[in-house]
Amino acid sequence: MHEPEPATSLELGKRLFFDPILSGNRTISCGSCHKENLAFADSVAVSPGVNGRLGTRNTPSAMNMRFQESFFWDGRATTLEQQVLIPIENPVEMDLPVDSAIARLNTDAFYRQSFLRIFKELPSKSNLAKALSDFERSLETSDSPFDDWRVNDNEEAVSASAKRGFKLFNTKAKCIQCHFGPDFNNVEFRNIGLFDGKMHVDSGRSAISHRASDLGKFKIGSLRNIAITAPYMHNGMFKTLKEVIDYYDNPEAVIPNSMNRDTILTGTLQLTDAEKADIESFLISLTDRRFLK
Amino acid sequence: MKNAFTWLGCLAVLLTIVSFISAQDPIVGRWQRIQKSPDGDINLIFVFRADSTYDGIVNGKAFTTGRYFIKNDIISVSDNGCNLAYYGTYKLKYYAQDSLLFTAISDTCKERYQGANGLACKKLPKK
Repeated sequence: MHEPEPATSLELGKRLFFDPILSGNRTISCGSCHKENLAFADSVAVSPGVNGRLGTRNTPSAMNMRFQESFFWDGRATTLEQQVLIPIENPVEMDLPVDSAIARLNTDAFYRQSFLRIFKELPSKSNLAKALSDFERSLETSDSPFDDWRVNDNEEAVSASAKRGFKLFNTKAKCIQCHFGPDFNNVEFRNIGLFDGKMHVDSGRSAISHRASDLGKFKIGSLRNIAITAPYMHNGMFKTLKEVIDYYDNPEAVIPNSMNRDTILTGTLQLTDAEKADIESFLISLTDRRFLK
Repeated sequence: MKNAFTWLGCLAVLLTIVSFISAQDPIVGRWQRIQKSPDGDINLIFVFRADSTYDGIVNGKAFTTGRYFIKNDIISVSDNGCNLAYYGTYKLKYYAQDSLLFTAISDTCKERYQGANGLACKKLPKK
């Protein structure tokens, strides 16, 4: 079936997002790793790039980007326009220099016409970034059972377990100290204890900031749609939400002698099994209804 | 006689409801602020409930929840993002029944202070 021609920057960005034309060997698109049915995340610890090459970090969800102030696990990009071009050039992701991508789009009749129609100019680095970022910026979700409960006062929208879990999230479990705001994250980078310099060696933010105090720190991830974006953490080391909650309950039991772990995570939370199940219920309630069908 | 008692009973219930409604603070309800941004409008809504709880919503996303108390024209607020046990205080000024301005008196929670000090909202009609 003939696809309609994109009429806006956003529509063009959507088309480009799912088109492998932006990878070196034309086999990988942004959508290969940011899968729409998984809230634009992936189901494996590390997504394969061109020729099956593997990086070291888990694919984060590309949804709910509008209020973010930094991008990638280490915050190497400060705007969405910067962010969208980096995976295209990364040798273990799409492996195509942006200049080559632009040249390729300029020789493609469909894209050449589309860019001219929408931007009144030929494909360039800036309008490619605008199209892709406009599409990503449109991927907001605000229709979860949790939102229905809080926004519409619909007490039936979430279970009693989820309500107890939200209370624990705000109090005993201390999750709220990092995961707050419309997307349940904030602009900070934190070391949650996944760096020990031996088995776990990704230094995270410090490789970008060159500050020793940032050793092992990573961007705090959004919790919206978290139930469908397993596996978890920057390296995808936890397969389930239960494993994540167990980790936060007692980080030392999972990674002893981690370096520079945040003081919020000193000691154990001493959550009961029932409390852990309630927190998981709350996290599941953050899943947008489009994914619950 | 029995009918008269029934009517009196109904009247008592009605008066109780009316007195509750009339005693309700004018802040109870939904308040909106639309802010312009380069990426489009940001639609902020605050829901103040009669049970002293409130929620903040941005572009349809619930982003904060907490408690509030009002004495005269001063509101004390706590929320989960700052600390549920700590209350910041703000002066309320109603320009009209549907127009409200928050001005900080004392609040050490930087994020809330930045968001709430000088915040002007318009009351939304009841659903």
